[in-house]
Amino acid sequence: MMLSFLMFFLALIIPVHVAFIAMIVIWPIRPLSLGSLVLTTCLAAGLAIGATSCAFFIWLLVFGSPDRGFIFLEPVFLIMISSGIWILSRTGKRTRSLEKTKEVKEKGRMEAALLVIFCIAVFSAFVVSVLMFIYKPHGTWDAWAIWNMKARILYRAGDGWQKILLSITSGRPHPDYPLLLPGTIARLWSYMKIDSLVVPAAISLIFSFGTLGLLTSSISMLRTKKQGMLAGLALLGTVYFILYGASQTADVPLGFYILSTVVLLGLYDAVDDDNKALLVLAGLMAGFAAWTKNEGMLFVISVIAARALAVLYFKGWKKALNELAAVCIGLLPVLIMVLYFKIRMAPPTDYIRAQTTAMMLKKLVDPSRYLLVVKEYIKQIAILGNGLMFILAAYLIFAGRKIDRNNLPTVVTICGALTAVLIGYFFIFVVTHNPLAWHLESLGRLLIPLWPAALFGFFLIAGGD
Amino acid sequence: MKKPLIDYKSIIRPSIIIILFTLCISLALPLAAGVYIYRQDLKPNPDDEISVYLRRYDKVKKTLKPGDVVGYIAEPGLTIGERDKRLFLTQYEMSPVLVVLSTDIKTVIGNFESPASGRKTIAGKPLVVVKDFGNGVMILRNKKL
Repeated sequence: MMLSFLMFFLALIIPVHVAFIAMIVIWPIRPLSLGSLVLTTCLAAGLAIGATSCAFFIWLLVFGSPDRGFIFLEPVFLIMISSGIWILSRTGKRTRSLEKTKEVKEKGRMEAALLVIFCIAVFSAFVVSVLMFIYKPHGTWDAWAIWNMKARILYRAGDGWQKILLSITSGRPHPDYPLLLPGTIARLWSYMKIDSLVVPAAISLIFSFGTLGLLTSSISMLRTKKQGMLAGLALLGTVYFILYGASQTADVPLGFYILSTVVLLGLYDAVDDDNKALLVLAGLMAGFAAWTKNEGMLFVISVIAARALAVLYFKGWKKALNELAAVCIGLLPVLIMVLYFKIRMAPPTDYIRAQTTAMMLKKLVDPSRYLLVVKEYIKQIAILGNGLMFILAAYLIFAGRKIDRNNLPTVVTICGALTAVLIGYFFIFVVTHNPLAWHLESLGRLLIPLWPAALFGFFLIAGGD
Repeated sequence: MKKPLIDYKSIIRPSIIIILFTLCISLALPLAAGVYIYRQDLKPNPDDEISVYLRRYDKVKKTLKPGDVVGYIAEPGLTIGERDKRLFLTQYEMSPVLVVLSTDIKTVIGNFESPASGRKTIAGKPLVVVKDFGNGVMILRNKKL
């Protein structure tokens, strides 16, 4: 048992460490602070989980079931990457280091009080997550019916995994959901040699607290520590975020990758460093969002379109093309893999399989469906975070707006991308093959992955430094 | 001489910090949770609804191998939601054995409230009990195939 957990720890820590080294090579923040450390660690964790999930999938495709060879070769390969980065860093062109964008000395009772409240909230969220695991060790319905079941197939099925995955998921809900989460869980089980229930719970915990750390630290760096903690508290105050985070489903991991994408775009905009590596990373994180859930694909299209328009407006078409190219360098490898999975291995999505074009068109011209969807949108957005929307609105009224000029393209990108995703969901609901009222019950859950990025955008706009 | 892109020390120091940071978190958080659980006298819950339900399949799993295709039958009269929940739970626990909602397959898993309810359900159907696990779960055989 101890050996299994040691392997679990190593299988997590080695890729995170390699990703961390890569992060500080391509994005050397100086001076080193707790905020920058948390930010880099959270991004490194997401990068490591996404990259190892892709590597695990490719191993399964090429070599079949992971054996000792995988467990030996993967760490060796990761150490080689880390050494390669180090060697390249000694011979390459020196890039300007990214200094912390805002060095504000903020001391005082307000900050201390916020820190205490923030710590209590973090601890409470952690206890809730642990209790959720104790009382629901298999997670909620979607966790065991979709994500953990796929992980079990990847881990247990041996070399016949492709055929078994296709047979089992066909006719079940969301058979075409991609494999970032199941791949990550199955990879860790392969190291541990046991399909422990602790693994999906631990991955959920990493994504929940990774999202929190990423939001808090990025706002702390781009605005002030106080606002960073307020952003974190707003996220922790969203009860559903914590509960979905602990439910072992893919909503919070998707939210993490959406947030990572916009944070990296925000960091790129915030500093006049023209560090394109941040854009490449943003593209990679967007790709991982698409590898997490189908909704991630909608986000990819939305964020690319919104970013292109924002940069076109603020910086001109040459810059827009350059930036788009850098984002695509990161995005394309993962996107190709996702498309390979969708075309070659996954059954068609429920929405296409279950109805004809004529049936969809009929629904598109039915005003009663629009009315029902609009009503539910208003209701769900109003109750998101148990009334937190009203508190945030009041905060904006009292604290006012204060947008850093450099952050404008990021703010426009976030608003554009999230609006486009919401419009996309809207039309999916309008044409859904499921009973509409029943399907609309999932809207609250669909808003959760967008919420951290929305909070990031909000605190880039809100004043009150 | 070319200056390195980054000073090696700038990797070593943060690397040590990140390892210590991760270790602290990975030790402190479970420790805090452990203390909480100990003080509250909580234990990992082996009796949650799903775990109890899945434990019924412990013996069945040993009789089948990855990739096997088995049918599935439950009591009639369940709501679609309840029927699907039981079927999906069976599939989750039996993975990577494929469980199909049909009795037109040679081997069929019967998932019933009780053995008596199971025998009542299969009466009149071309199914014979191969193994009754005594908890409502049965392995059945379609005698027509």
